Order: sequence, then C-alpha cells, then structure tokens
Amino acid sequence: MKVLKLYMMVLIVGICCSCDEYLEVKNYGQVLPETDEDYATLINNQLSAIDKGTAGAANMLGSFAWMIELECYSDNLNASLMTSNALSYIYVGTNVNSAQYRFMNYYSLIKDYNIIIDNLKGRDTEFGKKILATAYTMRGVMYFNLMRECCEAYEKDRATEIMGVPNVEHFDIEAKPERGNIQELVDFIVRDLKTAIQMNQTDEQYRFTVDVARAYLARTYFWAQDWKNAIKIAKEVLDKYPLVEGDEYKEMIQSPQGKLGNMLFRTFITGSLTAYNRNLKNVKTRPVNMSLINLFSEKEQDIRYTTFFDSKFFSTKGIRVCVRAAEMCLILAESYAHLSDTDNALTYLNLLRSKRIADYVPYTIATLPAVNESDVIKTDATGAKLTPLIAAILNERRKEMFMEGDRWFELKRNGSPEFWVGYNFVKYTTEKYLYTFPLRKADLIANENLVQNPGYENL
Amino acid sequence: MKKIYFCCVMLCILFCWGCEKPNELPPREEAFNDMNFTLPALPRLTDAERDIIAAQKQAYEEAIGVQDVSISN
Repeated sequence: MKVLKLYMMVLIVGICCSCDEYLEVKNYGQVLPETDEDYATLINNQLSAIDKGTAGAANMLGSFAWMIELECYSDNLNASLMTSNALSYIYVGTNVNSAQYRFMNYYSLIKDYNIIIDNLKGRDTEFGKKILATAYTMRGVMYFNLMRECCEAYEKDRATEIMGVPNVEHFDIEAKPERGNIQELVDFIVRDLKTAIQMNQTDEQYRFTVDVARAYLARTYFWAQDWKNAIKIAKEVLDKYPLVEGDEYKEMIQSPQGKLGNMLFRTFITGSLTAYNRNLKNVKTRPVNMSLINLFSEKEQDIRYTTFFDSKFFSTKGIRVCVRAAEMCLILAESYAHLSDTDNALTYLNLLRSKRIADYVPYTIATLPAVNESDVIKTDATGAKLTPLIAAILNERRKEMFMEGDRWFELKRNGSPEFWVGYNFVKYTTEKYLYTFPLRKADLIANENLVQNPGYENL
Repeated sequence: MKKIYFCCVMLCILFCWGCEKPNELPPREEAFNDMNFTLPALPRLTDAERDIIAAQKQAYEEAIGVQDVSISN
C-alpha cells in the first residue's frame, strides 16, 4: 500500500515537473518583442520593404509590378493588340489563383499592427506615439485595400448586406473571426484613421504621416459614398498640397524613385532599378487603348499626352504607387457632382485641367462633352446613368491616374461593368464577380466561419 | 485502496478534460491539396468579335501611321 502511494506521489511530482516549461513561449531563434524598440522593429521592417518597393508590405500597398497587373486588368492597355505575351495578364481571371493570397498577406501584416497596438508600453512617449500612430494608419490602409480588393463595391442601399472582411483588431491565434458587413468595415477603417490623425504623427521617417492618414480617410469616405466627409477631408489635403504643373509635374510623374512634387506617399523610394526597367520595357508590348488616347482632345497642348505615350502609343509614364494631390482634386469634383453642386464640381475639374492643358478652355455645363455611349463605364458609383459632368470627371481621372493602378478600381466602383478582350482567338470576359478577389481557399478550410465571395463558391 | 482507485479515476477524468474536445481535429492534410480555382472554360472569338478587334487594329494603325501591326488574333 505504501509503495503504491509512493508510486502515485512520484507520478504526480513527475508530471508536474515535466510540465514546468511546457507552456512557456519559445522563440525558436526569433526575437520576441518585449521593449518598445522591439515593437518598432515590426513597423520598421515593413517600412523598409515599402521603401524598396518590391516585397512584403510593398506588395500589398502596391509594387510597380502589381500596378502593371492592375492596368492590364483594366481597359487602359489593349490586350487584343498585344504584340507578345511578355505581360501574361490577359485579364483578371488569368491571375485569380495568386490573387487569393492577397487576403492572407494582408492579415499577415495586420497581425503586426495588432500586436503593437495591444502591447506597446510607452504609449505616451514621443517615440511610442509615433509607432502607435503609424500602426493605426497602416492598419487602416491595409483594411482599406482589403475592402477594395476582397469585398464587392460599396452600394449605399446594400451596405449592411454586402460582406466586409473580418475586422480583426487583436492578435489571437485561435480566433475564427466572421465577416461583418461592408458598412462595419468602413466604420472600422474610419475609426483607425481618425485615431491616427488625432495623434498627429508628422515624422516623415515613418512614412504614414497624419496627412497620409487624412488622404486615406478621404479615399475611404469617397469609396463609401460619404460625399460630404470626402469633400471636407480631401479639401484639407489639397489645401496643404496644391497641384503642381509644368516641369515640376513632369519630373514628379517620371521619377522612378523619390517622393517629389505633391506626393504624400509612395512606395519604391530606393533600391535597384533593374526590375523596374524590365517592367517598363514589358509595358511596351501592349498599346494604350485608343479609347483612352482619344480622351486627350487637346493633344499636344496637354502635358500628359506628350509625357505618357510614345509615337506608337505605348506607355512611357513612370510606374508608381503613390498618393498625390490630383486624386484629392478629383475626389472633390466628383463628390460635389454627386451632391448636385455643379459649380464646385466644375471648379475642381477645371482646376486640374488648368494645370495640365496649355491655353485650356474651362468647361461649363453647356460645353461639357456628351457621354460616350461606347465607354465601358455605363453608370456612376450610385448606379445612376452617367451625366456629362460625371463622365467628364471620370475621364479626367482616367487620364490623370493612368498607370497608377486606379482605373481597375474605378471600373469596379462605377458599376463593375463586364467587358471582354480577345487574344489568340479566345474571348476573355471580365465578369462582374471577378472584380472582387476570392478569399484564400485554405483560410476557408481552416476557419469555417469565413464565407467565400459570390461567384467563387463552386470554382 | 479504494481511495487510491478513486484518485486515479479522478486523475484520468482531469486529464481527459484537459484534452478539451479531442474529437475536434484540425482539417486533414488532403483537404488542402486542391487550393486552386478553376474558372469556366473560355469560348473562342466569334467572327463578329474578330471583326471588332480588326477594327481596333485598323484604328490603332491609322493613329500611329503604321500598317500591319502584328497581333495574335
């Protein structure tokens, strides 16, 4: 009996001793963040990737390769007239299997912001505030991108029906979050960006300054058709970063690297230009669509016409991912147009044109070009038929933001119209559901609470 | 002796509880094998659609002043 008791005691002691370090977190050669400097490293690694413009966070914000892909998906470059398949993205469906990984990659970055926001200790120090504000801005920016890429386009009437993405704001490896609706996602992004703005982070070293947060807030309101707030914020940014023109504009647009002119933010500030130049060369296998060329009715008087294309209408515009003031001007013009404030809409439309076109003649309601019925976009963001004013603003945006990855999202925002291209005797149709990238299949298996985007359920 | 058996049984029960839903296994590896999307087969261009592309080609050639731009359609 005594022996049995002894065995039992030894067994229990043995089990307890063996459990001693069982639940301790092991670092497996990695540095586990403890100090605020360690947490800052998480952000600094991402900022370095953004500066180099090729991998990690830069891929998600937009590397130059990703920008070309987006332009190929849109109607800016003519796939039907490709001279070779150096750019293999014939239409968005070509790359749908790699697009699913964007969902995963965004959350991989968001995890870092959540860890910082939850654990940073020196929140009231100058250093801590910078890190925290940057983390909030970057989280807001990544969720904004997720909204544009992995959710259907915002519709005011269906804002509580359209699926958002899981609004994950704390790191929990065992959590299985569900998708909320797109309005909840918009509110989440707005909250993050407003929190960052309140912290007033102005140190350019951290890239995501208070002005960048404001610009993304304007973009978010604009995407969510909150025209009044979009106007308020976009105006603040435009007042601080007035439009540039002439040689200053040309230098800003063509610089492969560096943050020039009125850019608030850009990826690829430093690093090798080899891959960049290769991509620039590949672009010259797919001519610019004549529907875009024909929008430049002032031809050589327009600085963009002489800067963006060569004599064979291949793009010569530098490829970049950036946030710049011209977009704010266009947000203002379109937001005023949706509020039926024609005077202000024309003011901002003409302001941009005045900076780009020599001897330009301001548009009036009477002189606006008629809507081109053959244009791919048939309805505006609210689903209404295009008016000459809205059409003129969208066309100006298409010209100004060419090769900046904007047109694909403009198509999506304005009715997600179906269109086709032909290559090698095959017809490639960009169907409506393809505007929204799928969620990664593996994530759907690992988290049964996730729901796939419409159109991909049985593919 | 009974007490010891009782303690052993209690210990076993505790261990079982500690395992927490042992039948909830992670997805089997095979479930992750087919992770690609297979889009519906794409149709061939019709003659009418090829005519549209030919018109685009002609407009492009006229704009750049070059004939016979080589394309694959």
